[in-house]
Amino acid sequence: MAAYIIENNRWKELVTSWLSIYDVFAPFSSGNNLFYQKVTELNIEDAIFGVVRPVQPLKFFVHPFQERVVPEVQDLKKTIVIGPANCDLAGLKILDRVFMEGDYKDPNYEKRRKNTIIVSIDCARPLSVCFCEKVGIKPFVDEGYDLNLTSVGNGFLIEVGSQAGKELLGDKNSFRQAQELDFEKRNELRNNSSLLVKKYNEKFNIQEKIADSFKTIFPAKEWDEIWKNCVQCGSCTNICPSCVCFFLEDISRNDNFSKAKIWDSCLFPGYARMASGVSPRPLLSERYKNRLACKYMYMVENFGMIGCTGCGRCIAGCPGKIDKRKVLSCVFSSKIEDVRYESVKYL
Amino acid sequence: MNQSNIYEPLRCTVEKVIEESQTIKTVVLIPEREFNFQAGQFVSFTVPGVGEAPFTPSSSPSERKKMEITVMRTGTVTDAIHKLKKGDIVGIRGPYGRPYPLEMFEGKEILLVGGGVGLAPVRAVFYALIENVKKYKKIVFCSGAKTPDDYIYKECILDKWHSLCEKLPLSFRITVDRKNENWKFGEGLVTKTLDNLDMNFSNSIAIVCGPPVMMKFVTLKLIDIGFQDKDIYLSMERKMYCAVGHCRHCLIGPYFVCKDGPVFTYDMIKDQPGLWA
Repeated sequence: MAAYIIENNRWKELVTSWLSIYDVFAPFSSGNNLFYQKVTELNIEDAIFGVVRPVQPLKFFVHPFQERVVPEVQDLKKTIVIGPANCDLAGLKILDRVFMEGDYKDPNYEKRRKNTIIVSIDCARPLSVCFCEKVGIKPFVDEGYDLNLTSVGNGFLIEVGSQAGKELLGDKNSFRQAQELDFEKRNELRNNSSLLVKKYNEKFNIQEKIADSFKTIFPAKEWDEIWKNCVQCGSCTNICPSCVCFFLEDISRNDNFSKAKIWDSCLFPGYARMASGVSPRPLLSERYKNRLACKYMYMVENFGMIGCTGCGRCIAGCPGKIDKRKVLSCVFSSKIEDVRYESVKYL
Repeated sequence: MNQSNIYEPLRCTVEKVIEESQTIKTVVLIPEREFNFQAGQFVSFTVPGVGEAPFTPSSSPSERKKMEITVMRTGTVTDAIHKLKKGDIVGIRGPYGRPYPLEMFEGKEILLVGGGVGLAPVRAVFYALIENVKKYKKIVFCSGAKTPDDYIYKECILDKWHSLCEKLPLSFRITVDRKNENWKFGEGLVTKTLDNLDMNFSNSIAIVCGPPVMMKFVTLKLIDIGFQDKDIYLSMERKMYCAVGHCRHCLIGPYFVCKDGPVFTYDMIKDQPGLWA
């Protein structure tokens, strides 16, 4: 695929040129985190490109928190999302399988998906909660993007991943073709990020090929103890790039059958509770274990891939400070220890 | 289903509401166009302005112009269904899920076990079996309810259907937990109807539907008397929204009740956690 070197200023001009046609979202810093915001000519100088994944996964754009499904949404504006990392692209694959690739297609998802151009990034500074390497995912992309940015020098190496990406670049005369030396710099950044993620996670006993090994720990007795810091707030499910669960809410007036789709969380006591009051998982310990089983066992059976991308959002977002890596380590090592993280190092 | 939007229901008019018992009613619907389903499949029933819930139709699958759905009053949606009256507009979408594999039952002896409102899908499959009754060696219909007043389809199960036994290889074993003075059938839990069954268990299948605790003890008893796990067909129930395998509420382990079920053989799901919820 074609690749170019584009300097910082020229890159911002390019993004600005997209604003008249597209809604463009990019990461902006807020506290110690990056959050997506809509880019305008006034704020573009503050956007932060090519560092690490923002707090929100791509789910927020293609499977929003709440949307009408009957009648389906119309007239979506074309959107460009700059800033998702490889973990987010992996999460998007799960969403595609659920909403677009099965026997039944979600009324809105495919439209939103086709309307969204993805400008991904290679992680230059992985967070201490990142553990993509532990679940077989790299901190840099290999597929599923329209354009990809790698921070090199005082600009970016920009790689074209699709026709839509190519068209977005427009007149390429103003960019320099990437040379071997540029790719070497990119590979160095990629290697460093990869090593850093590995280093952050050395101490965790999470067995390789977790899709196979999770089956062996499913019956473990440690699950009965390990969940106790969970306050069933639903942060981890909301912020997860591959948690898809939702409920349908009737919003019809008279008899027009309007419905909305709203995110749900399997940790909530009412999630699977039936009208009779009976639930298959009345205990929080059962629901907590079920959430991980869904990620590492059930989604493997359903879609041929695990439902965890190692993005670390469920760790960073947990008010009970549960570090999922410690939870898995404990169960894999058959011991009960404090599963709270000591501190989370952000940007 | 030919709507392009998977969540858009087919409009139906309520033709009649039949009061089966104090807590159970059967709603007779006339869909806007003909509607096909196979015994065991379910529909998602919308009461506009209230919500949606999944039900297995209780009428004959060969009846395409009308559909009967039997509902116990339990929660918000079922409460609204109980308040429906003739002429009201409601919606159904579906049919969803895997039906009873009737072609696999040919040449076999069939045991039907239904309890309470769980008799609804059993009635649909009973109609389907009776239509091709020559294909099956024998049909044994076992049913239970708390009291005689709690029986649904009284006219059929306690009366009309019994005349079929003269001509067909069909028998009934009917019980209530607590009888009254007018009751002419047995007393005891539905598991009691499984005592001394005159069936060849190596060439039989069992179809079970009822409340979770009833399904559990019926299944255990069936295994005890000689049925194999793979020959016990359970109609499972879970909280459900989308009915198309997206929302993940209905999972039993890795299996979707909406897509892989609602009819499961016991061997498929017996090791999954929370099975008898």
